[in-house]
Amino acid sequence: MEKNRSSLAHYFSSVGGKILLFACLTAFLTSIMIGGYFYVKTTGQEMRIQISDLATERKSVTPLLQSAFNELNTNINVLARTPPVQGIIRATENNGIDPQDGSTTQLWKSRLETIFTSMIGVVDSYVQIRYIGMEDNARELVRINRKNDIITRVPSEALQQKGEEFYVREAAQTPPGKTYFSTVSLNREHGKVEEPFLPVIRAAVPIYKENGPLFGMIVINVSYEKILGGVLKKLKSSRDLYIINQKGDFIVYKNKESAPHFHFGGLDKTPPAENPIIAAILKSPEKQDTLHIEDDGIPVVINYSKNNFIPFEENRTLTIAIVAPRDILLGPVYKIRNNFILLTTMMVLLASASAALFSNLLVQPLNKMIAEIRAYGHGREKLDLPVTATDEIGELARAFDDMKMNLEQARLAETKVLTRLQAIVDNTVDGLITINEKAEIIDYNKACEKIFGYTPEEIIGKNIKTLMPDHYAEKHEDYLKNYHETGVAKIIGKGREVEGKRKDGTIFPLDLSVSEVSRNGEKRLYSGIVRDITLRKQAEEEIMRSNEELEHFAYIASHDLQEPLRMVSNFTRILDEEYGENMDQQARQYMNFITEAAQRMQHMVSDLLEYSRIGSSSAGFEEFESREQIGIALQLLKDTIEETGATVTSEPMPALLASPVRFSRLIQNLVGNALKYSPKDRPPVIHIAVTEEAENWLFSVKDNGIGIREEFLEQIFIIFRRLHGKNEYAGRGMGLAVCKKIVESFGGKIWAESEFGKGSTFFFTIPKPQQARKVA
Amino acid sequence: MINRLRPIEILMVEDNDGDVFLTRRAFEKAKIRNNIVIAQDGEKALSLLRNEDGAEDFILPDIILLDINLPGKDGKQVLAELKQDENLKRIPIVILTSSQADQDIIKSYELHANGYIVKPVSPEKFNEVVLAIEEFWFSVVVLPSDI
Repeated sequence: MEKNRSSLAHYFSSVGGKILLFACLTAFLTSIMIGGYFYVKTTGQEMRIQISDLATERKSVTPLLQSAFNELNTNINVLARTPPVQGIIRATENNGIDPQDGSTTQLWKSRLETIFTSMIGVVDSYVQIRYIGMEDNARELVRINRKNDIITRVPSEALQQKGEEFYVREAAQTPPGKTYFSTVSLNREHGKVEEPFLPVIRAAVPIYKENGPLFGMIVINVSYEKILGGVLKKLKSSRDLYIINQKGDFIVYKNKESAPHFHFGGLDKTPPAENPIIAAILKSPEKQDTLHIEDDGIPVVINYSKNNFIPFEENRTLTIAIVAPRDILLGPVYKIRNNFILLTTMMVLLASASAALFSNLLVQPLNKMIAEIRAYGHGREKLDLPVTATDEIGELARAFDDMKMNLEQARLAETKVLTRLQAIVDNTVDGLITINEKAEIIDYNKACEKIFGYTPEEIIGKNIKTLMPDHYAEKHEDYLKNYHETGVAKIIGKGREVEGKRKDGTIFPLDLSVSEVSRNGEKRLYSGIVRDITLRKQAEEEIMRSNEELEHFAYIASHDLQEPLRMVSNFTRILDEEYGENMDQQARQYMNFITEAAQRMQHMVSDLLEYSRIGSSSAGFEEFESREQIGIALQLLKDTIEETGATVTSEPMPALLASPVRFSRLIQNLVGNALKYSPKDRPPVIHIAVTEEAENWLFSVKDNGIGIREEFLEQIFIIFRRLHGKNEYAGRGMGLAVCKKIVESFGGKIWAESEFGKGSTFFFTIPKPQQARKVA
Repeated sequence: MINRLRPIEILMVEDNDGDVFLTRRAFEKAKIRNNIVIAQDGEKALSLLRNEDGAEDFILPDIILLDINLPGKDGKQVLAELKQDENLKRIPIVILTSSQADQDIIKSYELHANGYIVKPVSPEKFNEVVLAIEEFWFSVVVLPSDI
């Protein structure tokens, strides 16, 4: 149910649903407005017509009723003038014999009975006709009854005294020539109400003696139901008719019922207000009107008029009311209304159908496009859109098609880039491995195949431990776990030399740098660049070994070569001491050659020893003020500076981290060189400067010396390399080689610039302390 | 200065005859009474010092002059053995060598050499060195053999 509702809601939120809803609402509202307008208008009109119909019907009752009363009036007056009436008076007054014709009272009575009987036989609404004499407490003189359509003459012994009855007293007051009509009351016999109840009205004409006094009266009891019923039966009305007297007694003739029924109002215990129709009419002050009320929950329309039917008695009125249910009156209107509802429903349905059709027409291409675009979005290559359509759908399709083309181009470009990147990754010499959080290999390039011997198929999905020697593998798991928990990285973001294990089980050195790659909140990935450094390691070992050999050679040179030289020089001296006096000039000169050569050789060997001692280690590095070491160097050169008359200046100098002794030696050698290779014609001018660079201090020693030809600028740093003859400039070609070795041991570089004949500048760099520390 | 009644007993471990000659010459020139015993290599030196021949008149030298470059066991090995020998470790040992290598100097002192002298390149210097040895070891310092 809930699902249905939500899917319904979903439908009405779609374009098709919205169109349908809108069309239905429009059709519905239009129909309701038009229908409602006509309904209200027609109802009012129809009601007026119906009310006028009711009035017409009601008016037709009045003359009928009037004529019924008139007939009663005529009949009773006819009876009052029949001869037996006066005959009875005369006979009664003349001791039972009519003096005019000798008829007895009894005879006259009998004659009157015959007249009464014929009268009652003609008018079936009459239930009694009586001749009441005022004597003997208004004893009945003649009486004819009708009961159950049987007409009987009441015998004299059954005649009653009626002196107590209201109608007798009231009729006795009636002036001569006028007829008395009583109100409706129940028939009474012997002073009691007769059962079954018989509502009657009584018409009475008083009878006077010839000499004037009241003798009696003729009284006709008329069945109220019958007299009015007769009238009503003559009407061909389909309505309910009410005839109501002032007391609220009423008789109703309902269309559905065969006979009219009499209902007591004032006489009965039932208060008249209980019938809402009667109550409404009695309450209304108008003589005639139309009332709209509800009777037992049913809306009814009442049209009534209060009429005076009783001759000579204007106060006594009867109300004639005609009542019809409103729904029946407005039946035709309701029919129209119902037709309208039907029409509305049909219109809404029609509108729905057409809207559904229309929206389908509209939405179907859209839905088709959506399906197409979705399929395309999920990787289908073809995209079939109604680009030829001329409407907005076509526009949309074309727009999408354009977008698709642009996207495809972008994708193509991207693919190219990716292909190129993949090619780079594939062809790069370095291995590229990506692992996930669980240390499973998810990416493995071609270089890795060469390095490790596994194919991608064999290794992807395996744990990275596969590629590690056992002692690393054990640690790796803890390490990765530790990193995930604490974020403390030991290798991530750094490069490191570790060991790898090939497929064949061999362990080899590799250079590994790992970086964490996490994209847009994805799970952590780690990417490692792996380089097989077996060859590099071998080369390094080779260099170390050759370095060792070189040092060993230097050691041998300093020790083993020194030994025989020392012998040569010692014994040439002893030879000179002990046999010098016996030597001729020639022999003495030979001795000198030997001694000099041995000395030079000794110097060279000790230079070589010094050179080899410089080494390349950073052992003995300390922080020092370069200014102080320059001072020491210049102090050692003091004599030479004074001899040559040189000017040596320097700028403020920085603190360094290196070997202070070697630095001093470096300055001493460079300044010494500048002093040595100075022109004979001018005193040397030497300036020591320093410039700060990003990572280094750049020192320079500038002189105004003889300069160096450009082709020799690099050779000057080679050990024992000399540019000048021994006689021109003393020296063994050792100084600059030592300088180069010192600067390189500090992690710097040395080079020279020169303008031949004008001077040279020697540059060297020394890493700043923080850089030097990294090297160390 | 202690007045010596007997000549200085010196063991010189040296395979170079030239150096032996120069040393002897220097001692003579300095007019120092001495008795130099030469051992050509480390084995012989150790054998002598331990009196493996069982000579009756054997006495331990007052000082040992030890060269580093020796055939067979080199001087540093000999030095190490001597300094580990309970009977010999108290004899002062002066390294007399032509090596100026840092590692030789450092290693020698680590092995408890009592002095390190680079062989001079002239006879005059040799004389000075010998005089200095005599002066220092036999006049200035007090040696266990003096007790």
